[in-house]
Amino acid sequence: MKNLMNCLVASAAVLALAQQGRIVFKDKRSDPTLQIEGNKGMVEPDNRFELDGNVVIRQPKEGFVMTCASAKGDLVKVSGKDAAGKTVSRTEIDNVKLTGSVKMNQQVESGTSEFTCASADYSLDGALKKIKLNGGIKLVQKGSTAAKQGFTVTGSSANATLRKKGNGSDLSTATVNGPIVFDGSEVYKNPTGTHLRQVSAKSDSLTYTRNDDATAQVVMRGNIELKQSTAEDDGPEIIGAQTITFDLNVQGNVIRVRLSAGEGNIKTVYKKKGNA
Amino acid sequence: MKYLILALALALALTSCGGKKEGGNASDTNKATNEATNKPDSEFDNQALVTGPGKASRTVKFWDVEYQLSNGLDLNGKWQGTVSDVKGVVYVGGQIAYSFQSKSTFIPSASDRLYISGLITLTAENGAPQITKTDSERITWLPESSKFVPGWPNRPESRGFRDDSTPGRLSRSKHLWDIEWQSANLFIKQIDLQGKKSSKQFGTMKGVKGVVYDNGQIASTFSAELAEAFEADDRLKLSGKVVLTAIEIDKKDNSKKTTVLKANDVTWDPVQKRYVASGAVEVDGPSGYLAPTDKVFATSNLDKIATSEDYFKK
Repeated sequence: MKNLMNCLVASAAVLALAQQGRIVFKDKRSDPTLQIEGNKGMVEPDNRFELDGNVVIRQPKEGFVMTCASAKGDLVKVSGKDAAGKTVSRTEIDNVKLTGSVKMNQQVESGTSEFTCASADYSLDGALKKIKLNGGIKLVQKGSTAAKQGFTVTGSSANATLRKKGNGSDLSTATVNGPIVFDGSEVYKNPTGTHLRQVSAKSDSLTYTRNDDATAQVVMRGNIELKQSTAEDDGPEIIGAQTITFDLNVQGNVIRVRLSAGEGNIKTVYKKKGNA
Repeated sequence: MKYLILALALALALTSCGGKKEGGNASDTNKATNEATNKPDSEFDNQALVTGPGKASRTVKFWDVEYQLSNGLDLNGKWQGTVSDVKGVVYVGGQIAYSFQSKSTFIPSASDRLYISGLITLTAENGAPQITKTDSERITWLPESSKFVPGWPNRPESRGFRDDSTPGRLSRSKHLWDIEWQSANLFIKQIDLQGKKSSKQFGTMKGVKGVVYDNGQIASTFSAELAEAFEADDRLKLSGKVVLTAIEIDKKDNSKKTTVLKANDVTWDPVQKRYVASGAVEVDGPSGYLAPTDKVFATSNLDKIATSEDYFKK
């Protein structure tokens, strides 16, 4: 017990030392709109920054967090009027290059967009956040409530835009280069009611477009493989389509699947779960 | 305890507070005064002890030249041009390191270099390394690295001129910092630099405040419980509740932007133009807030903060 306590005390001391040595910059001492930190680095306020080691970049009021091994970017001072008409200024990231185990997380009222990749470029363009992702990318879009809401896309590279809405930013568009794997939940009805089943698809490329009413479309192209499965069956596997279009509801679940054959033939194979 | 402090002060023979007179002549004088006696330090006997309030400033000299003819003009408040039939001296660490003669010397306004040419003779002084090869027709004195190099690297173009056949002299120096103290354990020692009288102080100053300069302009002010000044490299070490304040005037609306750095210890290195702050370092100002951290490096006006010197080299 004594050894365990010693161990815990030592661990806490190491953690405290590690935290103490970090460089943490906020655009304001209290209630910041931007906070950047790393194990080591440099900050020129209103100008630029370089950070290395467990880098965390937060925009707390927008629910946006980026983490990575190294970041190098430019800062920009933005002025505007507050509710009382008083001129206020805040610091924003104009652009930043992120490298090493990059993770971006945008939380909004309707859910969460999360990107992971090897390296990324982020830039601000008016109301849009533009993100270029490279190397083993993964995009996870989650709804705000139920566990089975949303979808996951993996690919080799991607371009995405987040559009400012309210306090946060919604995923607006994404173009992903393959090989692509899309995993989502599809709403279907049977005599017992409305259910969700897993929908999984592979392709060469994918585009995501969010509509003004928060519904969205996912279009996948090239070397399509589609599989829909429930707890009861693995059923159907579809190959040979040229494109698949998924219509998504506001929760990010698939509500309609459209297939286009092009010049090829679409083949559908139904299998019972457990059958070869 | 008192004797211990005095003994420590004596042991710190390398630390000093030697201010030098700005501009003008080749002699090395000290601007420090002691308010308790109101005597300039040159009137103190060797190894006098100063304990009352006082002040000092540190200025580093680069060179002095005397000439017979000149051809140039003022550029941004500094003279730039060519002087002819030149005799001059260059300084390293406050001492004359070399004397030289040349047919002509170009003096830039943007740097403190000397671009020397024609019938050059160089003499090492005060133990400076001898330069055996002086037959180059063009050499340049680089005060930033305290050495002569062959050729004229980065010599600016001459712009405009005004002939003057009146002999004259020019010098370049840099004001590094001013300091005031409430009390001190300072020893002022008369020294003789090969015939040139000078004085040095060493010890600790208490209850200090002062100003740090960068390129002749006030970059920031400071206050601290203790200060030590170092003779060898003109560093100023502050400790105990150190507060640095940088004030920037916004040219658009003349508003003041005040940035404050607080730390347990801060050293100002005038050669690298860098503050090194350690112990609960915190920076706060209108451009942002740096949460307390162990150690940072900062520019003279606190507009760049880094955890390592490497970030200034990129």
